[in-house]
Amino acid sequence: MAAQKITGRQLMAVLALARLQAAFVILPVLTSTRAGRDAWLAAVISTPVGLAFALFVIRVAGRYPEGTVVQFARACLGRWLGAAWGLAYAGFFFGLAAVTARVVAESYVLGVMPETPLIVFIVVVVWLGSLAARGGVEVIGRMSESSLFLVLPLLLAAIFLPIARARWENLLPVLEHGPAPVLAASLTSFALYAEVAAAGMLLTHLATPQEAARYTTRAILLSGSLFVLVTVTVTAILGPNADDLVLPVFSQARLISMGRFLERLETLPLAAWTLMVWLKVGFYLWVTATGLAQTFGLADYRPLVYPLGFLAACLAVVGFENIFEVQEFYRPEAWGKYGTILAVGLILLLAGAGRARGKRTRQA
Amino acid sequence: MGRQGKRVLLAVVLAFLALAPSACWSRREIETLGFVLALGVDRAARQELVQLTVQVAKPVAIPSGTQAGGGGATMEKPFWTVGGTGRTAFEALRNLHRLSPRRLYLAHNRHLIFGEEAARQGVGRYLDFFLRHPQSRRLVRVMVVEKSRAADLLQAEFELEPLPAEGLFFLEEGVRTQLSTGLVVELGDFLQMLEDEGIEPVAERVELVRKLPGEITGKLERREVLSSPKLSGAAAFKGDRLVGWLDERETRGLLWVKGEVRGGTVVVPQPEVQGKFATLEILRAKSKVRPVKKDGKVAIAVKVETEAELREAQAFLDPVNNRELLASIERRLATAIRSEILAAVRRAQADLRSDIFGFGATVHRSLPHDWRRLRDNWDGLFPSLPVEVEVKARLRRSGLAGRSIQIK
Repeated sequence: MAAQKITGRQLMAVLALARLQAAFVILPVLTSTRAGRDAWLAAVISTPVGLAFALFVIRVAGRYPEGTVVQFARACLGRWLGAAWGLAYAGFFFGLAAVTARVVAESYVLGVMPETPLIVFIVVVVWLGSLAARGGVEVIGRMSESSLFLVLPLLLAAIFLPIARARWENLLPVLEHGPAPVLAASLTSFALYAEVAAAGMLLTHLATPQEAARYTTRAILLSGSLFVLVTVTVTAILGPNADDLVLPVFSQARLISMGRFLERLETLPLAAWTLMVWLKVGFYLWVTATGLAQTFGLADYRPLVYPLGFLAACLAVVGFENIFEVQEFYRPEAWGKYGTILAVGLILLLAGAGRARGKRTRQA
Repeated sequence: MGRQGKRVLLAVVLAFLALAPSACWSRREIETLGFVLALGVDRAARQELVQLTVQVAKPVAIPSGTQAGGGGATMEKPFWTVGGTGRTAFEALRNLHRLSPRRLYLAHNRHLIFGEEAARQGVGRYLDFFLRHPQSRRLVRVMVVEKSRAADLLQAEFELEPLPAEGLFFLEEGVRTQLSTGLVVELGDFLQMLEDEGIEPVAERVELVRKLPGEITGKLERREVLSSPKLSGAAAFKGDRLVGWLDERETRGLLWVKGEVRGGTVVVPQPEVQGKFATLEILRAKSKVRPVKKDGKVAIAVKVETEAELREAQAFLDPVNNRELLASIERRLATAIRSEILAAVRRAQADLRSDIFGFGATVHRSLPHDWRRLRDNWDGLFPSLPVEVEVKARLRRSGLAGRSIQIK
């Protein structure tokens, strides 16, 4: 199993798609916060912080090139603490896989097929994700790389085709209610960047480990700039009350009307996030299964994928009572806080333990 | 995994697959849908009810290309207008399924029409549905029918367009690019004007032009058009209530301020002659509205710049050799535009007492600190708000002719 390798560009695609999915489907920085027309500022602030964290993850993971961060944790935190670390790490991404499946299923039901039961979309998405996860990191990497070139034009079309309707004055006044709501919103936004901690599982599979930092930077900058762009255009096009919308990007794409010929193109973002969600759920299920397998010393992660997928689907169904709870989940005081603490805390813990171990080995 | 295991897995996968063709779950065949082209809202006779009227395309009666080309006018109207009541807009719409064999489908709806009475009593209570329903679009145009009910407008027809809703759409395009004397307002913008601070909404204003039935001779080839929609002026709101109308001049005044004049004609008295006029076509225009502070008081400065072309001169005119004449026409154009703007401002301040220009919103954007102080009393301040208007007009061309006709 060890021989699966991905390229730097594939690493970039995997990380970028996972980040873009969270931003584009429900744009939590706008819909789950109180930043209103200043949400784009939160997007701007969180991007360099997200980049710094991503590079930190790469550095920490790079200290243990022979394995993943889970194996690194076992090596430097000891058997019990290391296992606890691995469980927390795997659990983080397991939960996110479930949330992701739920969010996209909600967007299908809301936007296009209101009569279809939610569970249908969840099962389909998780099943497709499980297939990708069982295929391994190479499959996910290649699929992401090729999908990125399909997803990017679709997202850019959703951003730029309705641009004629933008009223840039909608972005004014800036910081009307002071910096507090914006800072809170950037916490939500950063929690999504913190998912880049998943890179800790990928680096050991990278064919050219010295390129890790470069391609991770590109992934963050690519997804970050699109994220800032879409937050700006949604506010400029749909107005300062766009935060009332459940699916702002979808609503924005519904405004595309070019010469009465190109109309009703809201399926563009839908197609894009179908691909993104499939890959993201696949990637996170792979991270979870691999993490668990390594925590418990299993030789193969694949038998874990379907059971985990089944559980993720269940969690996606029962985890939220309604769409309002999904929106509440991304609030700065909820996932914004806990997601950040979990991801940053886990990586910091690992960094500290790794440093201590490094000193020990040097002394010895 | 052994052979057995693989078979079990296959069975499970196939069982999931049975759920997978989700596209058929919410499937709708096109022949089972009734495409709503326009939707009207009135107060019902029982005041607490909503009267909803829809115009649905009747596909069998829409003439195909060859028929239309062959001149064979159809006997049948290509649309069906049907109405019903409910306590809410959505309930009223659903109640229409008692009458419509086809499922009413809103995604192609182009118009949201309010009867004057419903608009005067407030449109807020009807709008939520149009924001919430997944088939509804923010591109839908919002209009108010003057002195009539929306239901009447949905029965009106055009001579030139078989589908009235389509006709209205082209009328809007024509008014927007050829005249700028009527508004084109999309639901998204209407909602924004309704929700934002310091701006009051405006909507399209439609009238019904009634005609007498034509003289019928011989075989009745086509039903006579009894009334036709006319798009002119604007409907002005305060909050969600209709408070009055703008005429064509005032409407263009509003559009100059908003920087949305995209075409139209301005007729000015021709210099140096008596009782003859020059007609100018507006090519483009832009505006800048900003609040200025004078001795701690806020005033509004409106700057409009426009480019026009000479289209018609009733008396002899030689702009090539008489530049002073050209400058004089430019000044007269600027004066005419200025007076349109001032007419609109006067109407909004004195009669409507409603900030349809969004002057308050510009204060909010540019002077947020002052706005905090002014916002609660903006309704009281707006009628006496000083508005300075500056217009720059340029005449760039004079069509294919330089001098005009010189009669010997």
